[in-house]
Amino acid sequence: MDIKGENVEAQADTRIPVAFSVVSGSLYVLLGLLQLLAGMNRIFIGPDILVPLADLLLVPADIIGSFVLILIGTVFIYGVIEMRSGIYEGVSYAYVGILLSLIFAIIYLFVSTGNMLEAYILRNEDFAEWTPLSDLKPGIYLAIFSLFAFIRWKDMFEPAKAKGINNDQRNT
Amino acid sequence: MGNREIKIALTGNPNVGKTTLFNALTGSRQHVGNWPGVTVEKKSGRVSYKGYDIEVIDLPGTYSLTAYSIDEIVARDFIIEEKPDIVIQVVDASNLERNLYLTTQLMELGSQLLIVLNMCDIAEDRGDRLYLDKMEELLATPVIKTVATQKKGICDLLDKVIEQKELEQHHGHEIGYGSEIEEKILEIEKVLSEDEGRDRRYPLRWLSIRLLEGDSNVRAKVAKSPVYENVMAIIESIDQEEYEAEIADKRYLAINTILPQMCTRANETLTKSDMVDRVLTNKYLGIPIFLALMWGAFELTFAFATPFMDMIDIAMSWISEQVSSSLRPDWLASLVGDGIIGGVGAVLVFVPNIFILFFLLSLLEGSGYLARAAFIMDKLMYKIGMHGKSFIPMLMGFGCNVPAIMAARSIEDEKDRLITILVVPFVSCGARLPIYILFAGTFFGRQAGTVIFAMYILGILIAILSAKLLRETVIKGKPAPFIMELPPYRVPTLSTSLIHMWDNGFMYIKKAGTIILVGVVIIWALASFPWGVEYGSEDSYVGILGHAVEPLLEPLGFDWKISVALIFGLVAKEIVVASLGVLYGAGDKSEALSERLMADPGITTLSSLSLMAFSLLYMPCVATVGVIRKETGSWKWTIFAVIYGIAVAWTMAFIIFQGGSLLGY
Amino acid sequence: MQDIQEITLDTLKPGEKAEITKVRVKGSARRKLFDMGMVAGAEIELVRNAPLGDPMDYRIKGYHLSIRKEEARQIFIHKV
Repeated sequence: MDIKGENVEAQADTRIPVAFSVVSGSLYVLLGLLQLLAGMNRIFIGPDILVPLADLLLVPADIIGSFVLILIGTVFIYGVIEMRSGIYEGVSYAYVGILLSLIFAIIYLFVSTGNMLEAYILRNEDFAEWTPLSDLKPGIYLAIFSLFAFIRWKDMFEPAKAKGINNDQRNT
Repeated sequence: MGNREIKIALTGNPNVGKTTLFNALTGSRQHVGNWPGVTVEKKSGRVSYKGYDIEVIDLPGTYSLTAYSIDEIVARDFIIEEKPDIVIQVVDASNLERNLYLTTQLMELGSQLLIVLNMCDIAEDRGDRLYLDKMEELLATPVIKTVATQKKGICDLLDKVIEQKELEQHHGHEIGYGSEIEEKILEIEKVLSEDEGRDRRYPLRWLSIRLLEGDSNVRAKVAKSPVYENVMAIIESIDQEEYEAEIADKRYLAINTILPQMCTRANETLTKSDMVDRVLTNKYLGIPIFLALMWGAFELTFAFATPFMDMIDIAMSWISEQVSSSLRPDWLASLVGDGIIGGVGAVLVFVPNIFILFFLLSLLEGSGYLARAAFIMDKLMYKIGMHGKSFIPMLMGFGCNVPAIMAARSIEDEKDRLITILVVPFVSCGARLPIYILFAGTFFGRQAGTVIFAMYILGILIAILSAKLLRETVIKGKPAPFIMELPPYRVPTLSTSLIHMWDNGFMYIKKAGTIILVGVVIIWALASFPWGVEYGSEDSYVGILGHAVEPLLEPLGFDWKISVALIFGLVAKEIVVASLGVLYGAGDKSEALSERLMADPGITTLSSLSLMAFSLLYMPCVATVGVIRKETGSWKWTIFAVIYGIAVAWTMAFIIFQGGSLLGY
Repeated sequence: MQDIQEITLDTLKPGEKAEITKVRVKGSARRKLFDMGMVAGAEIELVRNAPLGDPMDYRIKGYHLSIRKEEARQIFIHKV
């Protein structure tokens, strides 16, 4: 097997996933940190004080949620580090990062569907002030980028196309 | 003209899509039960096709047919003793070599074999080439291609089944094990054939090979034979470990000789599954991702289920009111309204939780991640004296201990399984959650979530410590070796997950429906009689009972009402809240109960904490006890589990209440 | 011959391939390992260790098999 050829080709291949991972990864990490901060504030200072920026970006004060965001961001960044050092398999992290962000967005959407039922159908008092916007959080809106990437680059992660080398062998 | 019957058995390695094929074949016409005498799940179903009535039996998924696990024994005994017309082996087309190992053994059993090549799409996408004609020729067995997830090839399969049935011909195909072993096989065959009273369903050659391999189950089968001594003389003359290795070698050798003619495999590429694995089992990211996914599953099981639980709650209290107001006389209205409908409500309210949980577990299993969970957690589990596979039942325990204990069947080693069964009850099941919700919600306000989380952690810690303790004392020894396939990641099929959810969820309703209903009616009766006393008052039987045990539970901070509720919690933990509702005269309205609990000076924040811990740990519900009895097959261990649980619960609650009091809470 | 026998499966590094020469595992694990394809002559590759270092994820006969270091220590190999 021509291992050198693989690397040369791979490096050219990883520019898009690297760029995507850098942007997506840093967004997840930053918003995750912001959410962590908001969550800490609520615990140490009191329930009503929110970081203004957090408010603007619809960041809830939810510590566990912040770990999830930071984790997804870390997966992306981890991939960037691997891809930058020439390991083609680093695209795995971009792929799994996208999958994870979608999985958690689906979880959040289900939970907020539950909240919607509470608010509009059961008219539960705890959810009196609930609007669809109350559950729109980074975990959901950041996943839109991932969804876009997932659809757009579906082919990129197909095993057949992941490594160009094997293509010609298969076609013979 | 009546339909003609065909009996087919499905076999195959785990994770080859056997269940999906079974579902595709039988649809909803399934029956889930147990194999007689053992606790392995038996699934059967029927399909009518072209005038034939075909019975499909889903045998347990196995890699081999040795006596390594109960699953393997069940599968081979069925094939030999029940003689199904056709044995279908589901083969993963993307992994022929290991799958054909089972084929070699099925052939030795002398069964009418039919091979179903499943997941051809995956293999072909990868670039593998499969030559079916060559395969049929070399294996002397018909081969059918299917993609069970898309229901492709099902009709072809059924046509072939009928064709084979009509042929009624047996084709033997044997593997040669080399002159030395063959000689021994012949020798044993000869000795065995001298026994005229032998069970003729068992092929002599198969018995001989198994004996040479040191199969203890087969040895036990021939132990009563008059020629047993002679057989053992031959077996003792050989180096059995060498033979074992040699026989396995020869089987793989036979496969490897024909394999290149049947398929050409594409060069190894970086598959999606490899990519996913690279991240999900990453040294640093693997564990955090695992925890995050578990947290996500938790959120879905509990947060998403809440509105549905509320809806059931509302519906049940409405029905209860309607019934109570329209029935005469009063005692009947009370029995039906408070007792029976209240009881049914207590059962149904957990249905959303349980259904979601089983759905998610099935998704995890179908995706291949459950095996990674065992892989990731094994070292930790091993340290506490358990097997990585024990993690899965423990995880299921969060939903309901009953299926969790049943899930422990996947653990081959007896001791590992016993320990898992004994510690699963400490894992906080869904039924205990309402107790936490009620008390944490009432007494801890905003901190309720944290307190509930702490209860789950406490359960896990006690389970871990118990496992360690059991390993050091009553169940000595090391956990069994970890030899497990990490199946490729796949997108799980929705229908399989839904069927799994329905089967297990329904099992819960059935179990709960009977036991909890009986429990609630008993409470109602004890609280209402002697007839004429105020419902659930101190003068009722239930009050008298509560007073009787009060001294034992007083050091834990419980008064007679709590004692009563806990006694009834023995029937099922769901009942604790229901019976408190009855005792406090709040019916099944949780808000009313919450207010009355707050107003009761007998319950403090501290005693509510102690109560939650006690409820978590003391004897599991009767259904769980029943399952423990069934799965361990021993009353000794069942009674041990009950007493141990109560002792741990009492100690823990004592520490919390007395410790807390000392600290001034 | 002797020095080939010295190397055991647990010494393999991620990505390295080897051929199994002898399985010295005893008891029921022995049977199971054979059934899973760990026979003499089989090619095996260490894919990676579990996040906590143990068990190991090997590729053998085209699929992933995971075993603990404890068993790997009793399986003899020679590197290819």
